[in-house]
Amino acid sequence: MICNESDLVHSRTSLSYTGGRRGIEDIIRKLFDEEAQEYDFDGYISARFLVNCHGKPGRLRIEPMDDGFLEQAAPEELMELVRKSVMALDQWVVIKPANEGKDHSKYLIFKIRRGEIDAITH
Amino acid sequence: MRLHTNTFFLWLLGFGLFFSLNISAQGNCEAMAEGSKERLACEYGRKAITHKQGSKASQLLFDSAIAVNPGYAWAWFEKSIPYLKRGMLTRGMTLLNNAVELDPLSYLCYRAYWYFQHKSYAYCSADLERYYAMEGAYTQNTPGGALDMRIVLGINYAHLGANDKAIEQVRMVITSYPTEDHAGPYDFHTLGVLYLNNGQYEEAREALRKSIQRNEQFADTWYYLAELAIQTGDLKAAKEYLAEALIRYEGEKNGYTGYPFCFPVSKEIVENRLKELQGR
Repeated sequence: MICNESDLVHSRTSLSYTGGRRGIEDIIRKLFDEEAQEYDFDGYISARFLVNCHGKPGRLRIEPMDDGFLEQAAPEELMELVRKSVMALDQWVVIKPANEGKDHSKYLIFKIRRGEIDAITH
Repeated sequence: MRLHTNTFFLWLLGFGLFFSLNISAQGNCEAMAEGSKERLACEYGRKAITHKQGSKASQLLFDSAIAVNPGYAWAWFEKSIPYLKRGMLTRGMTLLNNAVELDPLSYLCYRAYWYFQHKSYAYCSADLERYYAMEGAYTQNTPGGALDMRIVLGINYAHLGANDKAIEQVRMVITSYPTEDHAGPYDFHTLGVLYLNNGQYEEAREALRKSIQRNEQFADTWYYLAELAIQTGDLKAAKEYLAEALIRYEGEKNGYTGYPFCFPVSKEIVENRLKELQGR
């Protein structure tokens, strides 16, 4: 999945998504709305992943947290929904010319209130 | 020649400030007793910052510093930074919590910054209120330097739904400066948006205008002037402000956006607003 393991970019400003932040939110919120499940969870779920040189996500790791960003458990179905949403984001674009063609590490932080998405931060 | 000399002194001043901040944060290794755990840890730390932040070499040297002197708050803090920047929040926060526990005066604001960044507003307020109640609390800015953390606390109150408290906080900060010229690039913008959201339109107008006088390139302020004009029924002015915002987003005039802390706007939002107003 990864194009060149030895040259991974960690910059927070090198990668963008087709349609911007709004593009990311639209895709994720749509998946959450379709699910229409109620989860008993307040807190955060962080999603860290790699975006390869073709703009596709992979090697996803997710972690549920409380409001102080320390570990706490979340319902498995909610974790699965976060996994599914992040893997649906397959149109990443490199905006720093020097990093074109390189793999990137990326994260999204889901703020969740009563099982619903309150915000997604980067 | 005169310009050259001034530039040189500015450079010297900048360097001096950087140097002194760096020393005060890490501690001056030479001032510590030779052979002491503090001295040894300090030297590990000094080596660590010669490597790229977040590199394995740098992180391992911070580990050594912490192993020798677990009471070394700065090493915990420095080790936490790359984790927080890369979204490994639990790992980063666990490390940073140690720094805060050891030296709250130095690290509470930095922790509050991360809580704010990810919209954990109750935690952010708790840290900042604790900080400003401490003896010896001094003025700290966001890591980028653009906002006084007391302004961040004000914005944070607004996110928690306490608009009046937010306005009072931001006003208090602005009036604490020797003159209004000392205000930061987003202080009046923030105050204006808070007034606008609170329905205090005259006060909003005054603050947003002051913001434009100081920082006319910031496209978001033009957008909020348009929102204010809409609220007060002046659609013609609203369209003009939106057009002004748009040319600053598009670079036709010098302009920028993307400052994430004080109620950010995007080009898309402005375009949609303009469309809504067409024909009205």
